[in-house]
Amino acid sequence: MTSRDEPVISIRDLEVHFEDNSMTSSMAPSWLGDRLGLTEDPPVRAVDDVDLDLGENDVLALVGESGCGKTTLGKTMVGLTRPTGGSVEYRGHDIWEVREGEDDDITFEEIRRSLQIIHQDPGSALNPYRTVLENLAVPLKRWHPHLDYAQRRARILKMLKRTGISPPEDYSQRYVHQLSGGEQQRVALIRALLVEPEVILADEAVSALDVSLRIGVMDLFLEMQELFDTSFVFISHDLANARYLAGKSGGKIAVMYLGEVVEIGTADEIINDPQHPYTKVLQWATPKLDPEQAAQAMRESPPVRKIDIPDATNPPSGCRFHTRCPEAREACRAQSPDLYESDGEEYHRTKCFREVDDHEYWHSEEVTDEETYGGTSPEEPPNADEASS
Amino acid sequence: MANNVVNTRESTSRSANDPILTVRNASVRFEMDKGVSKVLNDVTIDIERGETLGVVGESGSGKSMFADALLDAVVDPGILTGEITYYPKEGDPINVLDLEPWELREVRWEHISMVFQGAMSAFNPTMTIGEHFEETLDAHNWDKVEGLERAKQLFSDLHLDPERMLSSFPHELSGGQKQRALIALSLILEPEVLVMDEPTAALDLLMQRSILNLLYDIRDKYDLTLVFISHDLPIVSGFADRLAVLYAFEFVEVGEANEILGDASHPYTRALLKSTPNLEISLEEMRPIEGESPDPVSHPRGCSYHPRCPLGDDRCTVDDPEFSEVSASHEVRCHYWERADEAVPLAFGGDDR
Repeated sequence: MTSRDEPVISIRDLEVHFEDNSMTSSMAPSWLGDRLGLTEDPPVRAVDDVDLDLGENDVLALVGESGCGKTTLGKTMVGLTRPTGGSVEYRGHDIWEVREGEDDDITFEEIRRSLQIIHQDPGSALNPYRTVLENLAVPLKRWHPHLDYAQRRARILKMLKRTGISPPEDYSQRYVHQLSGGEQQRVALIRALLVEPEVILADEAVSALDVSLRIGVMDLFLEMQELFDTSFVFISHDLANARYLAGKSGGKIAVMYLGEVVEIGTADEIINDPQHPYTKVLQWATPKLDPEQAAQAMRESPPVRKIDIPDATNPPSGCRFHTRCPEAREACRAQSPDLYESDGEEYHRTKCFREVDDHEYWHSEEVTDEETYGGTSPEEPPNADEASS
Repeated sequence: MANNVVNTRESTSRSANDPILTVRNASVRFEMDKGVSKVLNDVTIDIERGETLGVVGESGSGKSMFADALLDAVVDPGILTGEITYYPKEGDPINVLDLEPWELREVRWEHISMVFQGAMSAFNPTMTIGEHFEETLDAHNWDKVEGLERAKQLFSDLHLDPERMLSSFPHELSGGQKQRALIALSLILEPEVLVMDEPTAALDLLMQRSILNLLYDIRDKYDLTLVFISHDLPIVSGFADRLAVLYAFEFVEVGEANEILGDASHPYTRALLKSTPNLEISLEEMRPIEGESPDPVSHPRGCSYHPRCPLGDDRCTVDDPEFSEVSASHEVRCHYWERADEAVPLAFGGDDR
């Protein structure tokens, strides 16, 4: 049952759409809504058509722009957000069937404990009225009620020491505001680790830190991953962080765009041999240290036709990236590409027709912007629907 | 010696020794119960007309204090001392710290404008973007019709739809659009200098880079001198003409950006480069900086970096180094800067990518 090859988390055909459940649209009768000019908003298509497996002791980095659905996908993977389609399985059990009591082999509590999350802002994720020790005692009291105070304290001090917070006795008595950002993130990591989870979702866990502190915190995550055999899902908008985490742990990077995984592979495959035009955009956006390359990147225009990401309530037809893609052709507007295997590489998959040598893409016309937008406006409204603009 | 610097990027829009702002011995201190907190320590620098100066430092290095000092905007009870002089294109030099409140109001916005940190909440949520522009034009008695025309031009230069922008409320815009609208607002009264304090920090990388790209294009068009403050050294690489690295409330290395990146001569600058996640150097080479920045109340004697420095010795604990010249356009405050590249090796674009 628990063979090593069996994934811990397995998602299939995942779809997460958010309906507008605000008071006005859900409570007002439709005739009133019409008279007030309230229109039924289309759902936000946060995640569509995603298949992923997360193994034991595995690392997956989800990368993409704000609004690409990476946080929603992550939260769905750890059972915090309910998908509107497809399935999320924890060791072969559908999480939401367990929750509904349709699968009695495992309890939802057990799944809940196995899948933990670390938030972006540790300062607001920890209780400001409690000391570090009191903050960290909460998960232990919940999941190890047999431990007495001295035992809990001993465990917490050991973890503080292990994560490089010393002297632990002193730090355990501090309040959250008396810690630096890096220290707060360490405490948040300890809190997640104390319940011995199998998977930790770290949502932009280093983005709020100074650039110079990020490697230190990422090293700690990787060390803990080794030590406790925990799998990590890291969410980041920064390809360089994803490269560090996936590269050092032998994990994978999945690049997301408007709710879909557009490219997935090992760190080496994604960084040194990116295939999807969007991955190349992210690469362009990653600052260069080499002065010549840096100056070069600044002189070039961004390799996208538009700066802003389209509205997720109304994603473009066909390939969702076609409205910004520098390589887009008519074929991209009509059909959505599959995740094609890239030549001769182990994990590498790319959702782009350019992967297929004899695809009709190569014979179709280039997309011109005037046609695509039906206007000359360089921007599309982020929240309003197209009909009103 | 890692001398992979190629001095090909001659500046076209600026000439040396034509400063627009000079800062002399600027210090900011806060008197507190536990002692005097020095959050800017005797800083001296010239900002040249038309240049883009990148000021880089970690959290708590004094970089926001430096920005506030340029506009005499240090919050109470902070005490700013020293001399800050602004040289307008026409007219006499202005001593910024010596102005009456009404004079200072004019210098701010119309001569030196600033985009603050946390710009996401800089707009009034009950007013349209257009009303913000009108309010600013009104407050400074500028012609509204002309001003709004300029606003539209700024919007389109920043890849924003002008008509839609003016009639939008802040919540209708994405973070990247808000940030660009704020940059447009800061330029509406035709300032010569734009000071930006971590203007892109809350945005994702692609938006940050896109905005820098647009700024890079408009700075010549609007004849701007830019002071760009960030904790992220690589993000300003390629964008800034010169870089000034702050450590513990002092500048430790100042020079042409490509020299700072290609031939960093302060052990701290080198450690900072090494500690930055990037796509170029090998994973094994990336290292965090050991130790912690000093507390503003108890500044170390001698060189402030000595407790963390691999080159630090007895001399460094007593003798605070002066600036040494690395080249005509690059200076560094370290006794042993000539050995920095051996002590903290660093290679870009190496073969083990």
